[in-house]
Amino acid sequence: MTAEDFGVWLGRQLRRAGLSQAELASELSVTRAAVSAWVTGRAEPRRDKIEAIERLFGLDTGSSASRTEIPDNFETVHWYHRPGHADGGREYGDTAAFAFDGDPAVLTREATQNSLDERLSSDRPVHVRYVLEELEGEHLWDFLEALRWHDLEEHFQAAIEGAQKVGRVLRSGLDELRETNALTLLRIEDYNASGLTGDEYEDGKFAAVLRRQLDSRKSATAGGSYGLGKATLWSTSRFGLVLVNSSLSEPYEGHRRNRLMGRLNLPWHSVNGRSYAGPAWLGREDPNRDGAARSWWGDDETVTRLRLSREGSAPGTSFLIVGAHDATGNAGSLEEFKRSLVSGLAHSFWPSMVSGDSPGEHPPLEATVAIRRNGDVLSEERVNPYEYEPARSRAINAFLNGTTVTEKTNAEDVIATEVPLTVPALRGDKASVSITHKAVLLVTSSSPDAERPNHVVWMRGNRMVLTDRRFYDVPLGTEPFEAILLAGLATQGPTEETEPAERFLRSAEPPEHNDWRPTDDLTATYVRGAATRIKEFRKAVNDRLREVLRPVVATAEETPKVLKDMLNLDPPPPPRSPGHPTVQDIDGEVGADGSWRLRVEVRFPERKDPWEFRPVLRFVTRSGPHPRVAWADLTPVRGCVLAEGDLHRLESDPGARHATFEGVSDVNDHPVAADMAMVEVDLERGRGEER
Amino acid sequence: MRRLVPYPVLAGEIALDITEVRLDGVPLDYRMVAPSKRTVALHRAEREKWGEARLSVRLRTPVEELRNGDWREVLPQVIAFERRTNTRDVVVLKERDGDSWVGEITVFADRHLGRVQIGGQITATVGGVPGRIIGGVDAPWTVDLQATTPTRENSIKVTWADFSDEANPHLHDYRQDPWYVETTGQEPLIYLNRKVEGLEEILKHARAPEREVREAIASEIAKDAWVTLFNDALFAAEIDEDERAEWPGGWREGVLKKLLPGAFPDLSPREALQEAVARCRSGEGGGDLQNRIRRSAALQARQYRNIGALIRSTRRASEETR
Repeated sequence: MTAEDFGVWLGRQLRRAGLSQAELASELSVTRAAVSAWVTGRAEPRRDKIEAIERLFGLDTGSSASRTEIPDNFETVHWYHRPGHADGGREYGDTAAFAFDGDPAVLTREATQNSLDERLSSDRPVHVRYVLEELEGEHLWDFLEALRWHDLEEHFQAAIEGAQKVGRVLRSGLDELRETNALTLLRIEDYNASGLTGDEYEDGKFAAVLRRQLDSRKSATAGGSYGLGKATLWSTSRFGLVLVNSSLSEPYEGHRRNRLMGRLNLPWHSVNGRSYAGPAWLGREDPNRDGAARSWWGDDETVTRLRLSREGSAPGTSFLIVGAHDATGNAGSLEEFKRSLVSGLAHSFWPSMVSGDSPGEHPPLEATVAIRRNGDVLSEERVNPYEYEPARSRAINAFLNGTTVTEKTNAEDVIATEVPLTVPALRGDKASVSITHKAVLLVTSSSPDAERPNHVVWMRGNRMVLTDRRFYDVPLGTEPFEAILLAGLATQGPTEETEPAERFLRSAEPPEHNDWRPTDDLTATYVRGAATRIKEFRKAVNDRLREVLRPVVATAEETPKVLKDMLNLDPPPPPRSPGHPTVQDIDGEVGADGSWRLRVEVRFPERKDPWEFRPVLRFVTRSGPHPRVAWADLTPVRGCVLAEGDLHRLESDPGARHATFEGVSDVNDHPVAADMAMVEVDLERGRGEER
Repeated sequence: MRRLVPYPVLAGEIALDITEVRLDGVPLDYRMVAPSKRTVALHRAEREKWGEARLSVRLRTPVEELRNGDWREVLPQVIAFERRTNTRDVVVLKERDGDSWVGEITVFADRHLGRVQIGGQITATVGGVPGRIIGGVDAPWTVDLQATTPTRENSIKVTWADFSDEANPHLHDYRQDPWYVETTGQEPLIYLNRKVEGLEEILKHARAPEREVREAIASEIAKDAWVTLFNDALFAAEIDEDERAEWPGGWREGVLKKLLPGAFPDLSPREALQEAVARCRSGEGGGDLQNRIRRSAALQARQYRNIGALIRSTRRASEETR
């Protein structure tokens, strides 16, 4: 470390600690000029003085060499509320937040897409962890105190009185906190992601998340991380309150760990005659910006108290949603909330959670969802794509393993077939030429319990799903299937082919990124005919899919079609309201004396006259007639009586629709022992001979 | 029909999948397997003389229930059985992934005739009694040795023939008939007479104005066939020592079960059988019985609707030409 580096470091620590050069000089018993020379890099202190400095700042020996910093003093952290606009304008809510309701499915999609886009090392998956935590009692009070909740209460109160939509949610949140003395937090952590790097105020990830709205930060590689979707984090909080702790992949102000800040989105409100625009930030005061809040570097104690601790030192960000709720109202309990998060993650990101089977291969994404109460882990679940999208996950897995087939011979085989996409030359670029990209179509049988088979998923890039649409033009007699179209980078083909294809397809996407169709961007970027290439591609995909699905051609059929249905031998379905008495239910067991003791419920068609019927007990055999077994006793229980002069015949009460009777088999008539037999009961019509 | 056994059985669902078929070791195109219809078509033009078909199967069972239940020596099995040949093979399956059981069962071409049913069941030792069935697959698969497409269709077969051709001496007596219903074979067969001019064309590819004619003719054929088959089946029903009718089995049982509810709507099928057989034996009520049979056959053949449509279209045609 050069003297100059040391000087910069020392100067910063003095500012952080709020010490003047004179004060340091007197603490170390050196002259003020000496301290000045150190700070400006003209000289370096002796070893013993360096150690004394480290001791004074409460740092470990060697901290100056490793450029470790003094943690910010948490006492200087405060809530900064943006003053009302000078022109009197009022915003009664966050525009972006209104666009995204606090739906767990949307939250997981938006938040996790950001994590994927910010994946740091492609050797390892980005790990996202959703932790639902309930705080009660002391744990709750400690958290609220660390959060400086008390300072917010008058603002909450004012906001409730002023605003409509936001006010209602806020009021119910505050009421619930008061009544239950419990608070639900949802922490969304990612690891192996870049973290909120960049300047406090200027362009960068930090400012994009905490300072800006409707900034889509569109970049060349992805749809732009931390765009509009981040608003779902705030709309999931009943209070519009989210805390952030980020471990940076690139240092800022010489730090990486525990960059903290909170942001509160309230509507316009006024407190004690002063008006506030709505948003507020928890941070350290920035004297250069009228006391606006800056992020601060938290010490471990603060991080723990704010429930923002991270595991290990891997870069990434934790978002803590305070007062998290499912605005769709579907999740009543934490367990239900967890389930909707798991299913949201699985349905939006199953392709990113699948990898090949060879050792060392990782999926781009791993996700877990946990429930905690007051810090104790109650349950944790790893999101398993195979559980939620078995057939499609199997297809991606086979593609990555190279185990796809051209002809399917096994129920779980995955057919892979190529579909050409012509990428036209760029407009106005003489050097640019048209190329052919080979997109890959994967087709496999849907799982037996699939709710909605016969869908095609379109993917490009890092297996990002564009659409998942029903394929209607299915050849007759086709078995339920799932199909996946991989295009552009998702095909993992040679880059000279996949990259132009990726760009071409991106330009064919509307802003929602859910289709490939002629767009203004497409016609402006590519030579004439580009729109036709897209249409051809879509048609080629459909044609190829039909080809793969086409059933084996049957030989000439002798039976004229018109006769087939009329000559069908399949047994008729049981009539819904049969014209005769039927057994509705039987229940019973083998008695101690070896007889079958049954309780039988009978249903009758509607009629005024009584039905006469004779219950017949049979022992069931695999083939041949089932032998009848005589009754030792028949006892009407309800809705019927014994018919006159016949102990084995029953008569229903007039007009009855149901009757119950009990029967005991005659052990002497058993062809085999009762406990070796399966029995059934039929009903025969009354009259007739005694058996 | 609900049946009762004197020991605990599984309540959860048991499902059988056929995951792969090998004909003499060669994997069969999976398009010949139709899981949604639970059917496998084994007859391929390219490979007529195969000897054995090996089916890979998977039986899916309720995990928790099996684990917690009071059953010992649980043995999941796959069964191949064919009614016509009365064959029955059982193979015990091996556990895989905790919730399913896999194995292979072989169907030998020379042991079977047509449709082999592939079912699954689980046996266990219950209360000290080994081999009790504690659960089974509700709907078995059908492996069809004759079919070229995996359809589950189960219709009466139809074939075309020239009734006066020398090759068909058995049809000579019926050369004046447009169709003939044969009931003597393993399964019934309807012969349609090619010699009837236009019959083949109209039944196979009728143009628009002839559609009603085609359907009316088809109804006639179907109804005749059902009446003939029903009578044949009824005469085949045996009577046991207690004067009770027994189902005749095979296609005849199918025909009776298909038509009896229409003939005797207020009787349960078994009672309807008893009634119909009793009338045959006693020689009483024969006319009424035949009318009931015709009513039920006409229902299957949609005769009422098709005759009405024919009359309407004929009227319309004659009005247009007037």
